[in-house]
Amino acid sequence: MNSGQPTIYVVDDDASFLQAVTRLLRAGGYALRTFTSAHGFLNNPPPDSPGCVIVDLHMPDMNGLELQDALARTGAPLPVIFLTGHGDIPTSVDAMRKGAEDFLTKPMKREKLFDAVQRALARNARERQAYEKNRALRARYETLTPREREVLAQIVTGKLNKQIAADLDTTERTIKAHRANLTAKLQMQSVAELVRLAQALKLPTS
Amino acid sequence: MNWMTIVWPMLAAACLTLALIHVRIAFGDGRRLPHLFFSLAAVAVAVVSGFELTLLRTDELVRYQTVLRWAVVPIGIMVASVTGFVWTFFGTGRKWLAMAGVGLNLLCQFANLVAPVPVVRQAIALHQVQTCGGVWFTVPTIVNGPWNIVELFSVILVAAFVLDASVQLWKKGERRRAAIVGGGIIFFFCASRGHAILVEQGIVQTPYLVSFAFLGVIIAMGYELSADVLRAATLARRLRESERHSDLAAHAAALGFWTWNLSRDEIWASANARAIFGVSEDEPLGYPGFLNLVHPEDRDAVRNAIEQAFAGSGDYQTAYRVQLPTGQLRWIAAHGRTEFDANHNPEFMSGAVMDITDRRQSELELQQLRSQLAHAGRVSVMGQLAAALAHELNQPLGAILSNAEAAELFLEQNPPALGELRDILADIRKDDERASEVIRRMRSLLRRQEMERQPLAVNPLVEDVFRLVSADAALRRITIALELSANLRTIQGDRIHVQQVVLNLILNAMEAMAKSSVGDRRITVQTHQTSDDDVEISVADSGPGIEPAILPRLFEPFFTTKPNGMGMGLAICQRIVEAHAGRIRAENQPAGGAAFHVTLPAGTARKQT
Repeated sequence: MNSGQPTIYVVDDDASFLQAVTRLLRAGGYALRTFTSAHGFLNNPPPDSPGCVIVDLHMPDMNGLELQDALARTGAPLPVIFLTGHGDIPTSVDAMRKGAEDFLTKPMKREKLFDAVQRALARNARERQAYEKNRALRARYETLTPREREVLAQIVTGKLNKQIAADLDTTERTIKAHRANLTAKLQMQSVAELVRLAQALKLPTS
Repeated sequence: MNWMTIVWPMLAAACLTLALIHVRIAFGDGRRLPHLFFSLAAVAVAVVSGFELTLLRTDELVRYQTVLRWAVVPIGIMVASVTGFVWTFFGTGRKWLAMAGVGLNLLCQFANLVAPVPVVRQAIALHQVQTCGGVWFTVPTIVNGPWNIVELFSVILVAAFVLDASVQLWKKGERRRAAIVGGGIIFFFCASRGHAILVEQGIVQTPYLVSFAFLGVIIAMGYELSADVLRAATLARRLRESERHSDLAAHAAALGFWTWNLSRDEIWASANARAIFGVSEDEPLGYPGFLNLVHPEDRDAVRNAIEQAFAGSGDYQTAYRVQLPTGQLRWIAAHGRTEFDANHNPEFMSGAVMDITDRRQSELELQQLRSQLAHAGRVSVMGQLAAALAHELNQPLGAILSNAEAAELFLEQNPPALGELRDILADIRKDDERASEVIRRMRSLLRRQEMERQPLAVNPLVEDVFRLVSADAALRRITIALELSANLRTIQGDRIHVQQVVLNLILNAMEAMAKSSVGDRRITVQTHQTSDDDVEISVADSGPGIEPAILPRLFEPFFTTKPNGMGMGLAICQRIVEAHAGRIRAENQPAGGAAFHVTLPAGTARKQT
């Protein structure tokens, strides 16, 4: 887990505006990387480190909303702040609904911009933490055998050992053994913990 | 009782039946005479057959002679009516032949009847002959009188007439009729005459068969005559069918028919027409009654349309509203044609009416939509311009602001980053120039749209705008009066833009009267030639007028008194008028309400600078 200095990625096709915003953020003490097109940004994917994205809504190659969709498909999406020369309500609603951190109209005041960046970074930190935790859980889950995973899927639906044995066509004793193994590997005791794990990892239940 | 006493009366009965049928037809049909002649001939044949039977059964000479003398009467009538039939039924043949033949024949019969001794033929002895079935009948020995040859000649004349008439009819194309009727008559005449001669000369010993031959004549005549009756019946059926079809069509098209008899001032109207007008089936209708049904505002127009039809070609076409008893308004389209008498006075007018309420309704809705579009067009063009302007300008403005704010931060550093500050100032200058460039470009874009110029007639242009807004005005209960001067000079300009000015002024006037009482919403659009060089368009309303305090600011951009107004309407108007080298001014009228006057130069406009 890399928890170093966060990086701000700024994407805007207007070179002059990009330059000005870069100066402002740098003067504000942020580390940043700039791109003049959405493709340029997506072709150099950010490393797995904290940060956020500031993107212009109207760009010739790919607009900000499409870039947001592309980001959302990666594992740990960076929060997005939109900038626009002329904001219309339907577009901003769409962007916010898809999880944009903020939607700023140019020209925007420094406080507004820094505020949005602070919020985005805080959110990113939270999301990263949750994601790291998830990743540790998944690593432990990966150590289970296929049979143990089947048994786990049955346990989280609230079934008793006897019922699981009948369903999986085996003896209650075997199920008990599997159960003991998997709780040891996952380092969990209660069924409640196992259910939370299944939800967090979005495991299939039978 | 033997077969003779059965067959001859049967023949007579058949003839009488046919006679009766055709007498009945004669009094129900347009072509009366052929049927009457036919009936007369048939009755004559029936009587001939009675005489014939009597002769066959008489063995007393004196009595035989008497009957024979009288028998010529029905034969004469028969010959005369057959001739009359051919005359009236064919309508061809030489009339003098017919008259000579019939006259001579009747003369012979008359002479035979009145002379002390029959002059045509006389029976001098009788003898009995047995025929098949063991029936005895009387055969006379006949001596021809001196007139016999005359009588034969008269019959030949009649036959010649029939032949002549048939040949002419044949040539006219009615070959079947000529062959069957003409041929039949001649054949059976010859047959009866020939057979009678053979009997009388004692060459054959059979009963007289004159009535049978005549029956042939009757059948030949009747066959064609009934073909006529059948044809008439078919025609009548077709007519009924076509009437039914036109009824159906009228019903399907919701058409109503009417006829106006002017001399009696009676209007007949079909059931459909009455339904369209909401008038009951039995209510009598006249012109005043009809006008009463028409909506008061449309009465003059209807009266004019009718007067024009009477004065001109007689064609009548108009549309008007009718107030139904239920209070509902109905739009009606009427078409008609006038029939004049010899002195060109209208006698009848007939035509169709059609309910066009639905069509009118959708026309109105369409017009409303159009005017809303014009409205929306005004706003959306401005809106698009504003959006484009905002986007283009916010880019450099955003950069300038960010640069300035960054500069503030750099200034707070110790020591201040002077190199950065210099770069920032250079960039700010660059972005400022960029913003000016955007505005300059936008201006030139606006100017380019104004360069379309052509000669424009002002009145049609105003009328176009009037059509565009009239539905909207009707909906808002506003009357728009056009007072357009004739002989206006044309102006040079852009049609769309000048229309836009007039439209804006009228829409403003309509909005100004939103709070006026319904009866007092009036817009007057006038055109004038104010001088040799100027054409003026004025739009005056009956609204509350313009507050004197705001009069000077009226044409400023973004100045508005409307809650949702953009304040661009009059500014755009002024811009357009000035681009046409014209003037626009507003004033309050002495009688109340505002008036806007647009003055545009006539003829070749000065080049725009």
